[in-house]
Amino acid sequence: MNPDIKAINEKIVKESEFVEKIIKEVGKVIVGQTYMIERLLIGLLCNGHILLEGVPGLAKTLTVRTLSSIIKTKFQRIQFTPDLLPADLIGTLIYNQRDGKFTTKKGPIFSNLILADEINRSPAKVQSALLEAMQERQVTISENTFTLEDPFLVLATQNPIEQEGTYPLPEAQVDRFMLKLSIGYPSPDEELEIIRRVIKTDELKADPIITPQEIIHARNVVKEVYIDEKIEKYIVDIVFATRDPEKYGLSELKDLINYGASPRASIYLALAAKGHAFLRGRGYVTPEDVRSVGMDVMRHRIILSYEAEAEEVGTEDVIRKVLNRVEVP
Amino acid sequence: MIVRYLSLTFFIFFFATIGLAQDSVDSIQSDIRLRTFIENEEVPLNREVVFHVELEWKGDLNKYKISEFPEPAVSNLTLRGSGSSNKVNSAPDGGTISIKRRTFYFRPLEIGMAYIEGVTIIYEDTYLQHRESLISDRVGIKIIDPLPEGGNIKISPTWLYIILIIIILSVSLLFLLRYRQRKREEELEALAQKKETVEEKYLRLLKETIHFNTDNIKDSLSDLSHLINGYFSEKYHFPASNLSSEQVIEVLQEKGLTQESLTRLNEFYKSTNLVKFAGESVTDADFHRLYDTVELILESQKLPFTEGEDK
Repeated sequence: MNPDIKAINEKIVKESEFVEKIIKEVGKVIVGQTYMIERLLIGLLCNGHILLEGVPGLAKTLTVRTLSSIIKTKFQRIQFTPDLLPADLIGTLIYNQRDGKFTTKKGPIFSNLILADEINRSPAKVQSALLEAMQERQVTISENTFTLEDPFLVLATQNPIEQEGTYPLPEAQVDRFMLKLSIGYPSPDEELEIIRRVIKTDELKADPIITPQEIIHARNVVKEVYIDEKIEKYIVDIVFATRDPEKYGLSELKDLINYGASPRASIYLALAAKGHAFLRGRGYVTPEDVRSVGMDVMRHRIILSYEAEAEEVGTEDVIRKVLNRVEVP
Repeated sequence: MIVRYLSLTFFIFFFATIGLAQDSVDSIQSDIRLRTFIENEEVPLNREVVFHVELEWKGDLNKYKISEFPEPAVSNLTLRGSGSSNKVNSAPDGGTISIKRRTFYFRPLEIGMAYIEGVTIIYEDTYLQHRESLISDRVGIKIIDPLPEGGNIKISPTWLYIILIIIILSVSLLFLLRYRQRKREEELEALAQKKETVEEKYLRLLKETIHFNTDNIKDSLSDLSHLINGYFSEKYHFPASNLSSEQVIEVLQEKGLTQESLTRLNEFYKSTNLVKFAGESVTDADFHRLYDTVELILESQKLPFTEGEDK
């Protein structure tokens, strides 16, 4: 191996030891959901926000809460409702009658891990306030600007059913999420284990094993993961296949895609692949890393046509076809 | 020298005059252009006079609507028929040029001069909603002696039959030869396919396409990787080249590849991935080892009753 890459590889093997510990510790509380836990860690390690989509009762909140207790970070859960106001989220100025001055009351966004539950239940102004904070990592209350503490990770949830009375996130805002996860039901064995655990124990707890500073340090290590030019070209090919499917022998997708993935998809695909390689204790990215995160990075970045809707073809079907057609280096 | 210049000037003048006689622009009004021309100035009595009237403008075909386009008045000619056509060309500046053409076919009546009188065409500007007219020039045609019918060559019917039979025989012979050649090729191909198994084919390709003494050993390794993926694609009918190594192993496990081959393949992919994606250098010895691994996998698959074959 190239001496530099060998050094990175050895460093990553050592630095990524905590990953297994975290997964094991989360496993004390959560049964299964390894896919969700790994993606949450990728988001945390790559400094990217995550949108979780799944029906209620799939332990989304519990997973995030458990993760925050393991990382020893501040955690806030905000339930998005139609009457929520931006000030409820970011904070406001309060008049103090005793000294006749305005004091800043910071909102729940001033935390490390934010769980924005059912983000599509609140109107656009509240969504914009959150998404602005996500992008700029700072909040302005009146004339004062406050920088949000690092690590700052927003995990927003959406319910794919009951779309009545919701405010769907615009494409431009959804694009700001690094990953969009589709959470599925547990397997029969896992469900059995869930019943047993809940019946047996009142409160399941996970112990803290990592500090926010260690996470920030790990982020810098993730950046060092080697990504070969062949992998970079592979990523570009995947993204371009969503924009110009005919060029990649996917003419059947031509009329199904209105807009292909944005350049943000390429950036996040490379970053997330690095994060995935880190989770596997590897100092270099392989096509497997790209394919593993491909669906989560591009799921919310491809806009399908009316024809696709009529033919009942979903974004996931399109991505699957793209991933199975673009030649692996 | 002066004589050369004079003769050149004369020729330019002469051809320009002839060109004008053949092609006359009768009227240029706004951006619509009327052009009338005859195909031949001298027409034998037993041939046709073909007279074209062409309207050309820049822009869409619908820009102008032709309201009246009467048949021209003629002398020493009789109208046999007429036809019209529309054409849209692209202009050098990127716009479009629309052309409406009407063609009249006349039969001459007597030897001597024949004339086609001017035609008044009334058109309407569909955008500005006003009507304008264009008038073409009078055109004269010289009607000459008729041409002998059937040409000068006269072939007797006997010869015609002989030529026809020769053509039919040649075509039949050609078809027969081609049919026999194709059938032979198919037989040979079928025979080759019958003889060579997938493993044998890829073992042959391994020997023929992967070379040890190359300048770029990394490229050879990449070719080796493509070859083994190509083999799995053909053997087990799945796109191995479009899947990651982990996925290929997963699929092959499902297809029932032997554990020994899977272990060898896993080792092969691990080594090639390190070279391809982690910049690891590869020595001749490493390459030989990986080549042998591929050969061993293919050889082991050659054995009868291979598990999972063509599942």
